[in-house]
Amino acid sequence: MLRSVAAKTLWERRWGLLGWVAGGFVVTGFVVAVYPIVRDSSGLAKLVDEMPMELLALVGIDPEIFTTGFGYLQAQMYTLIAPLFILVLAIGMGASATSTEEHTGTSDLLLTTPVTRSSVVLQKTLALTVAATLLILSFVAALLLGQVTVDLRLSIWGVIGVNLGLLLLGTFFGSMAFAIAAWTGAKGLAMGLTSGVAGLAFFINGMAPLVEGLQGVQGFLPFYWYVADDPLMNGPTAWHLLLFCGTALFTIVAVAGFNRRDIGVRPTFLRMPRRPAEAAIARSSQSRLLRSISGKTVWDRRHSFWWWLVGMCSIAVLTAVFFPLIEDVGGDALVQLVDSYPPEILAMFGMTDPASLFTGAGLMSTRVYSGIGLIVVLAFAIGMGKAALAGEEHEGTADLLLTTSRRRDDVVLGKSSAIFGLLAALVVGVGMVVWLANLIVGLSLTFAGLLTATVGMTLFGFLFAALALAAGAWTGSPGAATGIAVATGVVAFLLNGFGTIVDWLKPLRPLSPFYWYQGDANPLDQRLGWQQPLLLFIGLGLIAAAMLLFRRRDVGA
Amino acid sequence: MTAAILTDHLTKNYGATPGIVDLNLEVHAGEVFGFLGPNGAGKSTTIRTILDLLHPTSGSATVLGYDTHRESTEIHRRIGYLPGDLAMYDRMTAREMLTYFSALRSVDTMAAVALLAERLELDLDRKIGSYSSGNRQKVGIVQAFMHEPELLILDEPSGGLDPLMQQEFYRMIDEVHSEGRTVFLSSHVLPEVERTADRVGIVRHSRLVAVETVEGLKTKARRHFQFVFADLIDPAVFAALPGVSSVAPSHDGYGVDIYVEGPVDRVLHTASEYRMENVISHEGDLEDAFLAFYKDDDAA
Repeated sequence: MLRSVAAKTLWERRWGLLGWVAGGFVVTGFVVAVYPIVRDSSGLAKLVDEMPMELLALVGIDPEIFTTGFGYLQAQMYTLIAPLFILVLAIGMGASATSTEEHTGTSDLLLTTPVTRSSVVLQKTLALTVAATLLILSFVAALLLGQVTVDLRLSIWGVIGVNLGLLLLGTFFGSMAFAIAAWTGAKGLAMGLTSGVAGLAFFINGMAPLVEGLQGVQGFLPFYWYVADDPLMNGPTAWHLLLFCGTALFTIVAVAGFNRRDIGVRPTFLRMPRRPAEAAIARSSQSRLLRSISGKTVWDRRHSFWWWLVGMCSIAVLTAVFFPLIEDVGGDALVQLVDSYPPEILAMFGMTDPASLFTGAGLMSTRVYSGIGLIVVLAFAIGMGKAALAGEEHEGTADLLLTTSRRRDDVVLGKSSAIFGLLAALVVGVGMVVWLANLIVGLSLTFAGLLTATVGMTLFGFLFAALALAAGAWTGSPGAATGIAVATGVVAFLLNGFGTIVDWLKPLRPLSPFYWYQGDANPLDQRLGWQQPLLLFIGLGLIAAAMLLFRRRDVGA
Repeated sequence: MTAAILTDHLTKNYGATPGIVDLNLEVHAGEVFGFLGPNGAGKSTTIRTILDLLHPTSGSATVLGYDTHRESTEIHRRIGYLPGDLAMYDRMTAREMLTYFSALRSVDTMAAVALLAERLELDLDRKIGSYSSGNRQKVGIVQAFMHEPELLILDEPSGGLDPLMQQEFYRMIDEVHSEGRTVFLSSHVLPEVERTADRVGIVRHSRLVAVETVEGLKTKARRHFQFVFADLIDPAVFAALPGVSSVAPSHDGYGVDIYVEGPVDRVLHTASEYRMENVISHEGDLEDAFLAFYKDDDAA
């Protein structure tokens, strides 16, 4: 397995990939296992038949296939879950392919072997493609199992089509991240920029059926290229060629960029211009932050924090901008339509309160507070949690930190409080933008609702940050810490979603932190109650556990 | 015979910060060349530029006759490199990483690796991340030597090695030398360079300030004489002589300690005019020569 750069890249990630494949199989299997409930809901087909075609088209429902395996999987698996899996894997691998080796310095040894830089880029792209393929095969395996057990009635050609599209969607954004990283050596920039572009493309593509003016734009969106013309039904489409061409183009750009780079040196266009006065200000602000462990934790994120905030605020602003358009299209008719759905089906789409779906609070909730925005906050939180202890241990800086006069408990407390502060700052910042949008666009949000959602999302993020931190204190491994927190999040999410429709899961649903946060309605329609103290209590409990675990830990072992 | 390394006005800047300026350097095939300079003088920048990890701002260079940028793959095939800031794949064992790099070099080095590991008393089957810094350095050395490259480029190679291992490492360099292969050794450890190198180049503030044989450099070094006379002596008789940089009385006025730069004949001639009981002459050492190049650094 160590004969080439490509093979070694995969070998190095073998355990991580195994986790991805297992996770992909379990999640797909779960989705597939629930299919019979939808199929056998006899009222649903009749109901959909009676709906006017225009209305159905507006919410992206094809009455012919809605209760078939195609329609179900298209909506439940291939619209959000599968692309999210693939993109996180591909963007992560693309962004770190060469930049991590540059950062750690191993690129000096690698690039002084007779392997050319072009070859390194191409082989790492190949490794990315193989990894994405393995993940997709885990989906396919679960689908084939479903084909046999719950009679999905998929066409093989369709399964090939949608998964080919998915693979190309992954390589498209993966190679985009790779190209940025190859030109800059900056992994964070590559990841952030690519995720931002992907998130925006996903968001606009999802809005397009609801907003008339957007249909024309769809043809330019990679997400549209992936799903257009129903590949799950019709097999590979011509749109997929666009994704392939994009991948090829980005790979060429990555090769060109990496060949030009000074390895291990930040390009001049990325360096902050520093005028003397600014430098003086920067020095004084640094010295204040660098006087404590919590301050240093904030200082580490003094640049990246603003990018997270900009990302979150963009989601809020976009949602607010689109709201009047959706209202114009005919909010009343939509509400009527949605009201007539069986609630359990809506619950599976993440709409726990159908009536509020097209209200301002509902839309802002599904985008910012429970949709993509929540994923962003969780990524921010878990990233900080795993870096706090496991990150320093992995980097080796823990040795210096823990041989200062600070006790280990102080380290845990200092870092936790900084993480809490940063999360609160991010969520409050977004809350202020949402409130401003409410005043301008008229989303009819209540202040109490926004306050509850803000408190809730901060505490919810903190709980997962604390979980990652505790897992890091326990294992010392950033990868394991992230894995434990993400896996817990996925399980909790599924438990909350499916807890509404699967009988044996119903009693377990109140155990999910998602339930404490969202309840049966949107986060913006919640009120302060027992849920918020519970979130806080568990978060603090995890910090206490982290302190106990970290006291006993053999650092670096 | 093709020069092992030849640079032509090689310059590398990092934005406005100079890394190495206008470097003209020739390393002959078959020699051990010491590349000396304090931290931050530009040693690693020079090495990383001729290895095509950095692209020159201006000027050019060849290694073993190949252009460092256009023909870097040919160069990489023929060199062994030990980075100054050695980073390796911590989650691999040494054997795994060495297998990987052998594969990338398309050579079977496993026999050579086994011999080198035995010489350096290195256990190859542990995770690289778990090694002490000395053992990490050994892995790096094995990695650089294993394919018997024509040219070894070693950046601060002996850091972390214990004295016994350092001696073994010097013997390895001697063997490479006797086989007619070339070694480019960047260092700030003077005895190491003195022990192994034929010639040295000295860099300072991003510029090459001298290239000399080790012997030549030592000759130019200040020499230290300790005279003891039968009678009381006035040190002032030496102070005015050409080349004398310092004179101090010793042995309760019967002796003098003298430092001389350049020819020593006038000092010896003057001393011979008195009744001399003893004279101790210290060989000029590289450290003195080296420090002479940097003595005005504080002012710079």
